[in-house]
Amino acid sequence: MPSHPVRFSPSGRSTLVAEGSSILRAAELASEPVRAECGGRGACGRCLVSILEGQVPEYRVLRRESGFPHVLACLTPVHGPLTVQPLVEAQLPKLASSDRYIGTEALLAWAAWPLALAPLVECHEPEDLGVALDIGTTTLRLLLIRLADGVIVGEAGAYNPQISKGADVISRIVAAEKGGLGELASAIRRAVVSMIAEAAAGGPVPQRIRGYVVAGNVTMIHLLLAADPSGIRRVPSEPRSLAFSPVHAADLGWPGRAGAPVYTVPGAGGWVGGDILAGAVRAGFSRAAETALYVDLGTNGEIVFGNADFALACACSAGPAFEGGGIRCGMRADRGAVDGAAIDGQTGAMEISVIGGGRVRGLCGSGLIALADALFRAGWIDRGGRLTARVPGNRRVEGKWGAAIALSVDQRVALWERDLASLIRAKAAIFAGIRSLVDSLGLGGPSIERAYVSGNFGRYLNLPAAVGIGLLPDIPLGRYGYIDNGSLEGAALSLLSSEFFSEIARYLTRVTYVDLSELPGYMGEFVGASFLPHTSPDLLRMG
Amino acid sequence: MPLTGLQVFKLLPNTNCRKCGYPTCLTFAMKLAAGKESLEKCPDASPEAREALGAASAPPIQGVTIGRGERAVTVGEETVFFRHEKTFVRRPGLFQTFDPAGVSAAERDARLDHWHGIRVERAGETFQVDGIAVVESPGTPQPTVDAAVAAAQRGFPMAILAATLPGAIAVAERIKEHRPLLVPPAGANPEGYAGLAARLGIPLVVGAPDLASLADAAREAAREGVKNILLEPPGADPRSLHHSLTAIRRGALDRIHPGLGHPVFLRVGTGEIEKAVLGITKFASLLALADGGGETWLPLWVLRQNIYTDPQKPLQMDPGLYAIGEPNDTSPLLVTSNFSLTYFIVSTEAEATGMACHLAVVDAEGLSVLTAWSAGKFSGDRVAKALRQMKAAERVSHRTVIIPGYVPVISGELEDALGDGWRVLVGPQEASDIAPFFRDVWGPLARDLRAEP
Amino acid sequence: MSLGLKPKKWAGALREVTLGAGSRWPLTVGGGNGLPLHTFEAVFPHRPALALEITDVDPARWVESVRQPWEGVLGMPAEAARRAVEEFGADLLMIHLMGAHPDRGNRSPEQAAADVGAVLEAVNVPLIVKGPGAGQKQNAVLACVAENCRGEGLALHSATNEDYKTLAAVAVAYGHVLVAESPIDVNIAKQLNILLSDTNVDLNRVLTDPLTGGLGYGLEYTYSVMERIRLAALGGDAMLNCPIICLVGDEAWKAKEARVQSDQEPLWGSQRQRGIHWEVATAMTLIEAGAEVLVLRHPEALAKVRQQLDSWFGETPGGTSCR
Repeated sequence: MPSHPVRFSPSGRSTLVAEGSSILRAAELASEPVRAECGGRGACGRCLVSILEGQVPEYRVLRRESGFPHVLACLTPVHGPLTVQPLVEAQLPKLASSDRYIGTEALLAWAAWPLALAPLVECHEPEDLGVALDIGTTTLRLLLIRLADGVIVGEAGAYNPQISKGADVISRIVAAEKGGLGELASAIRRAVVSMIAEAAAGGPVPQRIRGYVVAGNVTMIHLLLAADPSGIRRVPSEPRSLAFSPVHAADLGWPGRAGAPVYTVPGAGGWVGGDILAGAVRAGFSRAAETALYVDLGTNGEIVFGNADFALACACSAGPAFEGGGIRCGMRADRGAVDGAAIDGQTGAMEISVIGGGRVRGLCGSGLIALADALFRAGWIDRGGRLTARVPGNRRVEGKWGAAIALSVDQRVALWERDLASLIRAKAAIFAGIRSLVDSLGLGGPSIERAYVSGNFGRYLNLPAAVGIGLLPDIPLGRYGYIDNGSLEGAALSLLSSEFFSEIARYLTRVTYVDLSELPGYMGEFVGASFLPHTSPDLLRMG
Repeated sequence: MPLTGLQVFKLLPNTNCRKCGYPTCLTFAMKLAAGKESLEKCPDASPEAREALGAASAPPIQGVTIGRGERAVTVGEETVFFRHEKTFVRRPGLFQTFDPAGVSAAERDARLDHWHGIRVERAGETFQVDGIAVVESPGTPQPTVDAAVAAAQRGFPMAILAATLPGAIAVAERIKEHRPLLVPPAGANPEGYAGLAARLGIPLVVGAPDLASLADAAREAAREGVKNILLEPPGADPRSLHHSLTAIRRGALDRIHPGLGHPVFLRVGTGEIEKAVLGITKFASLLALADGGGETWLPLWVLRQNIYTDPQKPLQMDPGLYAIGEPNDTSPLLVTSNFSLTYFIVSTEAEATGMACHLAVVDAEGLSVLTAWSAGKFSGDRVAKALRQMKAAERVSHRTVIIPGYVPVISGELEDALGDGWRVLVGPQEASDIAPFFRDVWGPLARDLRAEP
Repeated sequence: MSLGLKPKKWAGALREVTLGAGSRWPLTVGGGNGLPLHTFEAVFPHRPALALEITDVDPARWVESVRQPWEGVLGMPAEAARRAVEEFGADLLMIHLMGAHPDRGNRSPEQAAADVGAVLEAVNVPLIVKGPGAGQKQNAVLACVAENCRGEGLALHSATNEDYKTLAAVAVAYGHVLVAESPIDVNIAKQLNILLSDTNVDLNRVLTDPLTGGLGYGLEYTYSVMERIRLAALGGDAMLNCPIICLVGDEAWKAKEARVQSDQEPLWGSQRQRGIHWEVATAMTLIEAGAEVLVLRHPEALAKVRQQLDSWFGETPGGTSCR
């Protein structure tokens, strides 16, 4: 079977693909990030690309711009050489490689109780390094840490290449069941190798790596280790294992000293993985007398509630809204993302704040939350999230999907009623999960004495807005703490302290997983929370 | 008041040893608090725990069994005032009142056989006449004795609607092994009847003109050795009856008086279906109905089925291919979930269209279509598997299946899973749109299908 | 009560809503401060009101035993209205504008308004107007009726979460009562009332329709939702204390068990009697859960329900509490 070269512009990445493969497949092979939320089924319309050179079947052409045909990458077969440019819709913005972590002394910065430096992996030389890795469903983050003093010396981020097989965990499990397990595993392993190179920034890093600690949700760990994940989505969930034994870095194709191990943080249940546990222990759950809440505002919406004596955990599929997914003009928290707004009640003027200043390119998760709160307070949207008559004419846009509020001068970036509906659904799932979880202990149960929020918001989560729209419980704001990436930080602490790592393993025996779909009250709570801020606002007060 | 999950958890050892079969003490505690587990499973529970949990869990309303063997009826052990607080637990028994006066033995036997053979199926439940309540004509117990024996021999649980004490004795003595319910005449002095019931070890109905006397009389009867008691509430008119029924349930749950902690008995005369409706909705546990006839019994059976469904466990239909009207191999094939309400709504609307069709009911664990789909229980794979199991392909010559309009997303997966040229048509979202759908979408399609060679 | 049973006292109470104005005899419902029918411990200023259903066109789907008492006036709104009030003793009426549905006659809004007008001429009891369904058509029809019959205090059926703005506007503008319908869900019922209240609809001019499931077809869902709504109202929730209306007749008579003849199912007994029992059982059960307005179809069912209610509320001439 012949193959054809496909080149991507402007990145320059290229690959050969077999005749008849889709352009999306070529992108996967070339590691060219192309958005494919539906996993390549032609349903989400995101993987739009422009064909700069070469031929594609006419029936796949959606439109032409400047003479170049636009097609959906997932549906368009390659029959000859092509040069392809992913359009704005298909692009995943560059992850902010912020150098946010470099120089941090992890133990000092993140440990909730005094932790002595006692690395989990062997270290002899002063320049020996360890890798802490967070494998998120959407993003990957890596830290290079000097084992002698626990200082972070390198970092990198990337999109999880498995996104092309689907935005969510279930699609990837399905892809694995259909024979894609090997490829999913290699894709992630390769991505980690690239991140190490990036973090190393040209230095002699690889030979110095002594070991890895990886935290991720149960499905991500299964896929990394090429373990069959199909049992995870059965009811009841039956993962191959919740605590895999360490493997050799070399088996995964990862650099390191001979025999460098890869540890994975164990999970508590099919839907509550090592990433959440690492974050909860990092937040101090295992040692706390006070009852605390831990909420991960990512796609899987994991929640933990408890203290040193007990912990309840659940996962509520909130969907990708908090990461800008499924939102018409959604994007990640990066340059050009709207992350806030202020509306003058008198004049009706709206001021938009944009990350990095400059041109408005889209709306990120925290922007969505902040905007929804501001709009609601100004009376521009009603409790169901629909636009009211108060929206000034120059801000109001009508399209075939309904009404929207323009965010950019040219009105190309706008917040649609459907986006607000997605946000309300997502926040209702989370809040209903929180209430159901806490209520499952019985009425008059413990209140929330501390709360930790984790998620890919960067520095930009507007907590009062999150409470204002009824996403998070209405407790004194001083009780809230923000953890940038609990999974990554927990992985780093595990790397630097074997005591911490054992503590995770011990704590997980105290974690009780609650299946929300089996709680009779959950659906009622969900409907109740599908309102701004809530159908019965007194239910928001939980502390 | 029952303990909360957290309160129970504090009584447990908190070792997470898993001997109870659960991963953590907290999981077990939550099951205990929900009444879904028994403390027996924890070998390390402290005596304090046993005591605290024992006291909290003794039922406020006695459980009473009438009759013996397969058809014995057990009632009582209710724990809530509103069904939505948890559920009503034991379906009330519906007994057929039978007055043998003036009825020949042959006629009597014919009627008893008829009642014995009644079976009506609905939503996975079989309705039948739960028992016979024989009426004593004052002073002539023999026909009653004979009728009681005839009914008891057929296996019916029995109630004796006595008119006199000697009559009661005559009948009760004869059928005592069948554990019949002894019902004194309304307004009678319970004394004497209590002694009889205690002596024979059979359950007794206690009545009184007002609630306070009723509670006292029940307590008295218990002191006399009657172990199983039902209460007949005072109240000749709907309002007074409603008051009594409510007060008894409330009083029992709040443990105001031990004499109130018993199931309730009602006798319903002819043309009094409203009294039976009140009884079934408001806590009666055993009703003796004077009317025969499906026009009275069917509504009451279904009302009982509705009110006593566990709100947390929706009724499920048996999965399978149901015929709406008289479908043939060109009739449309629809798919839906086995949540009984969904099934009823869809089948009713489908019937109303006048067009016969096949309705494939898929096991979605009793969830509605959308809920089932989001829980992964109404996927294309699952529907395909169900259709194969019910051999849908053998009942239709076309290869088109119509799915509910709320789950268009499964069409691709379903087509893949079915293979064999099957095509999925996305139907209406609302059942009430099935008629226009048949007319505007299926109609033309069916004509085309017939036109194909 | 020497047993020591304390009467239950509550923080909240139901709103009172008055149906009918202008040329109508006004009829007030609601206002109770206890659980339904608990007259021994609470005060109920008004008894549940019983309505009969009439239609603008001949209702082909009505089963024969229901058509029979209406013979000669089916599809003739004014005549049916007179029979309903004068012979059958209905407290109020509901006219179902089924003929305006695009698939069932597609009568125009003007024709609908004329039908309603004819009923208003024929009788003086309050009137509930049920639209034909079908989204836009319903709004157009009800808006036209509302305008033509302004000031008569009609109850417009119905507004939902998805579609309430048009009806809310015409109800307020033309002095009518609004029926707020939700799909057997306490939260959605409350949300709708909040949305209505936010658009300046006075909740003292709103009835709640929680969507009735007939006996065997969802009755227990409606029953429990209504009990929960009543508890919320009595607990002081001012967004859940509008009086409840149940469209019993239509739902009860949809049941196969109410319609099938005894020759097809001998064990089911007489269809005529069975159907009436079906409607009565649905109605009484929902009254116990808090229904304040019931729309019935068979006059014998209405008579039986009235007789039951007389036990709690005393007999009233012809049934209405004020004439």
